Amino acid sequence: TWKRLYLMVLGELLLCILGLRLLAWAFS
Amino acid sequence: MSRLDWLVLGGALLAVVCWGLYKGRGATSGEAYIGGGRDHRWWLIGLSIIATQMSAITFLSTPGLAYVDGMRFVQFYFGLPLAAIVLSMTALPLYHRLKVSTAYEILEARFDLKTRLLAAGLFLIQRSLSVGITIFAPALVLSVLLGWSIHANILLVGVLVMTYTVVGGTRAVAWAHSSQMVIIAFGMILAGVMTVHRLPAHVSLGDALHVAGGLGRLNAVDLRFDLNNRYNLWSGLIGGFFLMLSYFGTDQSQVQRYLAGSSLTQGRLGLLLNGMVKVPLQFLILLLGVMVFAFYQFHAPPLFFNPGPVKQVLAGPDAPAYRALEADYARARDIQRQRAEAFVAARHAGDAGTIADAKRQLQQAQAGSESVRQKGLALIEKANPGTHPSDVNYIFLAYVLSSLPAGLVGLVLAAVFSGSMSSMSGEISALGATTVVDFWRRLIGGSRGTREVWVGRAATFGWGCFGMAFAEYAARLGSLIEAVNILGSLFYGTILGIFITAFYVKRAHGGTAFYAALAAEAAVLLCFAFTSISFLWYNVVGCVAVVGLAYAFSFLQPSAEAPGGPLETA
Repeated sequence: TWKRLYLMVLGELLLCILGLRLLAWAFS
Repeated sequence: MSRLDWLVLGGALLAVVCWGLYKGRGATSGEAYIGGGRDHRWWLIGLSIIATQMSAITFLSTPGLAYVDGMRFVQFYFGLPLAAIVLSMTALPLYHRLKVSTAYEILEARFDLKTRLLAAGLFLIQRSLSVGITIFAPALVLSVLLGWSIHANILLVGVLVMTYTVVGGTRAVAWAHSSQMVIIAFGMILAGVMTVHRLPAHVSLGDALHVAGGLGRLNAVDLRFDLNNRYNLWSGLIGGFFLMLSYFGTDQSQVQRYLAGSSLTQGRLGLLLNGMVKVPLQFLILLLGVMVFAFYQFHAPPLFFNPGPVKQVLAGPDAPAYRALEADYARARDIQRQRAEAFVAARHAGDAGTIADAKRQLQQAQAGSESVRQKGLALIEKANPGTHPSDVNYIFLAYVLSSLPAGLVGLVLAAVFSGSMSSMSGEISALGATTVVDFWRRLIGGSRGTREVWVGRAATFGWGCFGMAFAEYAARLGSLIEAVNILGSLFYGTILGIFITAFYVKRAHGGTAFYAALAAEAAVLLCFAFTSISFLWYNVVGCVAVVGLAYAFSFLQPSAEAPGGPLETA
């Protein structure tokens, strides 16, 4: 359970970074 | 400030204090006062961790940073989720198993008393100074923009915080944090909604984002590795990771939040909640600043949002030149507004060539108005020598005061006060706990009963008074404030290094960590004095130096001196 939770936190960070790149690209 | 604003502001602050007092009543032992009864649920711990880190100046300057520089600041927090995971796997189980009240207790079990007192002492120095800055910085902004007395502001925040923190201890702090986060969230969300609503009728949210994005305000992730660049992906992931590891793992103002959990699981979940929420939360606050930037593409902004340094220019020989620049800036911004309108119209028409042309013209207009602003900044700098005048902290509140409706201004100000109070309460509560546990209980051998509650209250009250006194003194420090802010990051890496040595360098024992920490701190100070590397990297330098030196020193020490075994973190 804990490892899945840690992976979820890591996945969310990765999604945030990709999302921020995507936002800058979409509105540039 | 209308009567409604005063009513909202006063009502919100009174509600926070009463809620904290009500929930914090009945601490009958030192353990209950410092540990908060150890019955907190994960969501309360998570909110309390976020509220402790979020000061008023975070809330004021973050939108201003987005206005001036775009969203690059969000990268500062990229290391936080990684640190939350590592701490959840290593430090939290250890703290929980050893049933410590402060993080520094384990250093004596692992090394010796002087190492424990060094880490606790460094915490007391840096955190007590930051209490002063926490309440001084927003008081300065409010005094400049609203004409409120700095002294009255410091006194008001200090007395409100100490009312519930001194009486109720950790439990009162955590519950007050939950109400402060509600106020901050409401203030932020309503300010954001109202900002979008205040855009011209034909400008949609998408149009506003395209205008801001076209002018570079949505650039958040910088992939270039540059040691001198404060905010890029790598300084955030690596430097930020070390900083957050130290802040959440070894700073008592944060450790105390999750030690109050009813179980290890609740503490871990609270810390991981913070790891998941923090980056999106900072993104939303920065987005609020981007929307203010978009708002000012269609309304005239002042050349400089901080009226204090401008008064200095207007009182000197450069006043006519500055007035002329203000007129030039107004004209340049009017051209920029027309170009922004043309860009939005082109987007609505949908012709790709016209859109690209309109965007290029808007960017040229922005460059033109920015060059006028830079000339104005040069005059401001000349009239205020050595103070590096900045308006980042003033942009958001100046916008709120001039553009938002009655009631909402009071709510945003309540959010600013909540930010000040939430940081100060978490900090003085932790300073009091460290004083009691690591000094009074350890060196004087105090009892853990009712008497310790009163010693804890006296220590918390004393640190609150020290913070207020330093805030009063900070009013006279001027640009030295920046130096005090950097002071924290000068110690963080070293403290983290001591803890990592305790966990993982099993050869090191006795005084090795103590002497390694002193040498590493000297290395960090040399970096500060003689290099231009960004402060986030000090955390890496200090930490790596302590661990490396402690390992090296351990070979110089006879193993017979080893007093205690290594700390197993499994």
